[in-house]
Amino acid sequence: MELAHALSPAPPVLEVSHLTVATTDGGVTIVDDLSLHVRQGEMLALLGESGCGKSMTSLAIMRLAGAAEGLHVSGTIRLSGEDLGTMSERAMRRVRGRRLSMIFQNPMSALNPLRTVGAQIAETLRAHVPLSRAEARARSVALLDEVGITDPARRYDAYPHELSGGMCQRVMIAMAIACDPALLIADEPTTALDVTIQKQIMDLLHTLRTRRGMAILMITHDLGVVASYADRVAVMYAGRIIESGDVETMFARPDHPYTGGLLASMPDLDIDAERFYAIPGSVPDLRELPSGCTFAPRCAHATDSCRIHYPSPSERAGGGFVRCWHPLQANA
Amino acid sequence: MSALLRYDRVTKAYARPSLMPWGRPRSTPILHGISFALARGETLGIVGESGSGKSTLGRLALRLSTPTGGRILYDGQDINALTPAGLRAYRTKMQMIFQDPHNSLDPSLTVGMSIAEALDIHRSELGATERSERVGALLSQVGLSPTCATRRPHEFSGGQKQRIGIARALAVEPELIVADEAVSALDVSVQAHILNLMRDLRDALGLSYLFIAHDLAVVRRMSHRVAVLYRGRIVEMADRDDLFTRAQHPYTRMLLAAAPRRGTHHAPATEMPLAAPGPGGQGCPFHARCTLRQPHCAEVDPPSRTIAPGHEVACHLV
Ligand SMILES: Nc1ncnc2c1ncn2[C@@H]1O[C@H](COP(=O)(O)OP(=O)(O)OP(=O)(O)O)[C@@H](O)[C@H]1O
Ligand SMILES: Nc1ncnc2c1ncn2[C@@H]1O[C@H](COP(=O)(O)OP(=O)(O)OP(=O)(O)O)[C@@H](O)[C@H]1O
Ligand SMILES: [Mg+2]
Ligand SMILES: [Mg+2]
Repeated sequence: MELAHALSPAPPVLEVSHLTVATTDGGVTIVDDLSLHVRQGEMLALLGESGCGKSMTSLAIMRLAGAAEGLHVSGTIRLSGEDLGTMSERAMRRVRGRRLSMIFQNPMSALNPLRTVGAQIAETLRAHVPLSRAEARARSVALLDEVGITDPARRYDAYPHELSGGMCQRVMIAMAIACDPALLIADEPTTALDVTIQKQIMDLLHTLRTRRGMAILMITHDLGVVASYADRVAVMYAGRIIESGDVETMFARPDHPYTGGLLASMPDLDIDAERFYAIPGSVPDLRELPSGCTFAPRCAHATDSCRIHYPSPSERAGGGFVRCWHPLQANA
Repeated sequence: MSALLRYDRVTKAYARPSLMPWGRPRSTPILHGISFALARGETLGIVGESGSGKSTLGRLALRLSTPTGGRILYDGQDINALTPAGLRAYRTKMQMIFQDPHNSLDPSLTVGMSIAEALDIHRSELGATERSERVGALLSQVGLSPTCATRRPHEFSGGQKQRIGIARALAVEPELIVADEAVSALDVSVQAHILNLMRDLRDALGLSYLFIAHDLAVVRRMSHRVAVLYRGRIVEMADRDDLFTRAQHPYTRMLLAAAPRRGTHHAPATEMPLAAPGPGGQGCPFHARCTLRQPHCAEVDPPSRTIAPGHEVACHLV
């Protein structure tokens, strides 16, 4: 009984099924039939080429992509079992920032330029937790300290333009974790940070997962971060998840040629080469998607059938799935 | 080699109005005695802690802000003594790729208009067709479809905006590009493509770069020389191989040790002293975090010394 309990996986905090985001004029499908889940205490890394739909997926989960943005969203999104799609906007506002929060990719534009960063964190706190002004201030200073801002009591009174790019990014992180959300969506949270601060932030997120069971959907281009901190990976290409699985097996034995190419493109500090390896060709524009497998025009293994039929998912060794007619490991 | 760009003991402080109307503005020093020279065709990598002053240093070269002390020379001319006409000419020679792509594009212009605007600075003689062809070619160079030209910035992803910023900078055909985290929002494959492009342009046109980045593997491959900034000071500067294989400053060593390497799936653990305490007072800016510190490190600011040809370090212990 004990053992069975220990082995049964934690319940999913986030369950996304058949999420599709398209422009209302019907011209472009940005996210296409995407399903994923993140369990309590788990970190799922979402990888993929620039423009493949990662931020759009997270905005749709936050219910921040809609008619006002010229977008149409379908599919279901459940947070701890509750369907977010049927929630009133008022109820959704209570969920955002409290149970579900997001670190946006553009920290400078996400912060209010006219208010001090400390006041913005304190306001987030007080919107969801009953705290006095003094308590909110003390808690905000502690959060700034936790994200590695030196001299946090003084920085509390700084305006966003008085901080560096990486400092604004960390203010956003402090704001997002302020209310201890069940699910944190982190969209490129460490792009502007040097390695030592990045490590401090990633260690902090790791602690929040292990101690408080926070589930994290991590969008990042940093494969080193993924290798060190994530549990599972989902790789997107042109709006769809093309491969998913646990980090260790996927990084050691990728099945999709795109995943393989991405791993091969990772610059290595210890390798002294003159040029950088890049996957040949470029991502197709969403308005000009090829038929069949969208990666086929760039793929060394593509055959005629790849150019006609979009691959259906097949199981990967070690769990997860891949959408490819000629998985790399099958030829290996 | 004559220097294209030279910083001569440049300092920068930001004044902030006092809280009391009658009080004096408080001044916060950001950069201290920054000196370096950049030759034509050379790439100087700039790395350092978040908030150490990298963007501030880059903005000074474009005269987006002015130094509090010291001089910045371009082709031997003090850029802060230029006449308005001289300044206009100077501005066509350099471009900055901004750290925050979201705020650097005009939201009311289509992407094509933004790039064409930059193109006009150098190529005002182009006809409409040639102009739009050139815009399309620039977009393809950064891996975007030429049809993107008709869309507005909000329709693009973070990495796509960053590449539009790069295309616009290249449109001006500058001599010097200040690239401030220019590829940080890109996946590794698109990033590799852009970095190869930047290198090709350097080799073909003799472009120079001030290359600000936090990814050490990228800096190593892109740069001829590397400067390490810590709290507004260059604590170490050397040829890239010297820096990556024979780093002397304890901060540089710490940075290199913390860099992620391929194939490491390490359990997260924090061992290095992380948060630096309070605003730096006197002494070495790094002393509070330094594991090798001696008593006088807290009192005397170490001067920069040349320890090998082209290798400068500011540390009492080397
Ligand atoms: N409002 C919009 N209208 C039309 N297309 C859009 C809109 N917003 C985004 N797109 C397109 O949707 C695609 C997905 O964008 P998204 O921001 O999700 O990419 P991403 O995977 O986060 O990329 P990056 O890594 O560069 O941030 C992009 O190709 C972009 O051009
Ligand atoms: N307008 C301003 N007024 C006051 N202080 C400022 C201003 N702009 C920048 N600073 C301060 O100057 C310091 C250096 O900022 P800068 O943006 O140059 O850092 P950076 O090295 O580029 O950091 P990052 O890697 O995070 O982008 C920071 O401590 C910042 O708070
Ligand atoms: Mg994005
Ligand atoms: Mg900066």
